[in-house]
Amino acid sequence: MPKNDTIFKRLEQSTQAERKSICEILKLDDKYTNNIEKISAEFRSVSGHTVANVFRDPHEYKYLDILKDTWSGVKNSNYFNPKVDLSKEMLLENRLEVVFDSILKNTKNTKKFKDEISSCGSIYTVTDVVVGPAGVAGVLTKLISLPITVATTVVGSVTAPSYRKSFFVVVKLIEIKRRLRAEEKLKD
Amino acid sequence: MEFSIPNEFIAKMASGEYIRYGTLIKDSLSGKIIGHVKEVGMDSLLKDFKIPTNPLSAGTEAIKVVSGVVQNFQLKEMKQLLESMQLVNNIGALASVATLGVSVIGFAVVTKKLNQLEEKLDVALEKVDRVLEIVQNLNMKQEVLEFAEVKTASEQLHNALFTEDSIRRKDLLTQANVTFHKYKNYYLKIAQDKSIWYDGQLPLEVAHELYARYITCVMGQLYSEFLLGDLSCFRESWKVINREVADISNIDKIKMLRSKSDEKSFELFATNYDDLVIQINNTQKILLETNHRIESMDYEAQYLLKSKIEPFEYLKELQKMDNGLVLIKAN
Repeated sequence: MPKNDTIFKRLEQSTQAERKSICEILKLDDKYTNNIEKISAEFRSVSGHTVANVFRDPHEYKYLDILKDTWSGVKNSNYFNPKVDLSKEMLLENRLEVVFDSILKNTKNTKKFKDEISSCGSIYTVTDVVVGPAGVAGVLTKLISLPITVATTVVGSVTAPSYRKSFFVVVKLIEIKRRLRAEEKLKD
Repeated sequence: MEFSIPNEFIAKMASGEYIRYGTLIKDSLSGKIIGHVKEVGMDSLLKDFKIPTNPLSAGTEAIKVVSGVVQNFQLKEMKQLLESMQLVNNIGALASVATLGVSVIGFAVVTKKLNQLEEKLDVALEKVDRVLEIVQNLNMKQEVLEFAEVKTASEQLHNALFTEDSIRRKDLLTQANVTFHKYKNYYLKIAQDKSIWYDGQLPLEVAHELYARYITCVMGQLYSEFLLGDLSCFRESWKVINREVADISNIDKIKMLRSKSDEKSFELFATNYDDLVIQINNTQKILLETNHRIESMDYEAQYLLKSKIEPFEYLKELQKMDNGLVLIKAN
């Protein structure tokens, strides 16, 4: 199933330059520019938890789940729009596109846009791995559980997905969709 | 020759009964040519086109000038396209409009403008990195010399329209023809080598600039050939040029879009696809318009051959008329 999913289709429709830029985000060697399987596997790998990845097929992690993670990052930012159906890949992707557009409009240049997207990835990591559990337990628990928190942080940072990479690739995949849409308009 | 004012057919064009193809007016149902449009009078509409003081500024000077002058449907259509491309303030765009004016008289006006164009054009081009690189590669001094030659040819063409000495006229036209022919091929080669429409690094307005230079030389060659009076030779040149123009004007829109987006692929959300789609569609319209106008030029030569009218006499006749456009009805 996954080999026919949106990630594969989008990569198949991408130009060489687009795949090259995705490889750069994923820190993949240039020699993989035309290797869609490798790009897909790496993208899913950086998007998933390391431990979970061990038990998964390289192409098993769903694009929808990656989009949900991306949405979770965005929802902690100032651009959160709560009305979204998290069960539909296309709807979620469209909504993310709207959010990215808002970020771009607000930041006004692509460098700041990149920083903003990058910070969405950071917020997500900090919130869910460290602040979340500590907040529930309260201040006292926080002090008592400090060693556990540190350990969790260390383990978490090792096994957690690389959200920044994952976020940027999602942005690129959405951008490919925009380019394909523009091509359709040119054909009219 | 039978002339009639455009008002006669404008209503039919508005209703869709007649359609325009380049400079030809055709019956939309039968495809029959009704006539061809000519700009007449020495105070050409194009004469009022001004060269903006700063070709790269976003000022409205040129836009206002164009708005005030453009009264006819042909230039109006081009104006709208150029405006949407934000090219009206670009020196090359003005050259394109002037060059695509429908008469030889229009080209005489372009000759005068070339004095101003010479300086402004290079300033405009120099400020764009990519073109600067191209110009440096080609050797800047050589570039200036080449442009001076084109300007000389334009002046020769202009003078040929006024001299009463037929031998002198032939001499001037022959020299102008050789120069325009040479530089037509020169700019064509640059355009082909640089794949102007598919070079992602080359700004679209600069591609239009190079294209305008090429078209200027194309028109110069055809006009000088036309005025020399050897219509058979004119038609042979036209055949070659028509193929070349069709080739360079026929763009692959998808390839063009990808070249632009690929250039920015290492940035995120850097391509404004809505704008790019509009620009590409408008570019195609401008190129098609140019292509159609050149394609329809042969009709005029055929008309003169059939009517046994000397090209130079024909132009003299047109010069005597009041400024504006006329429809020359088909035989």
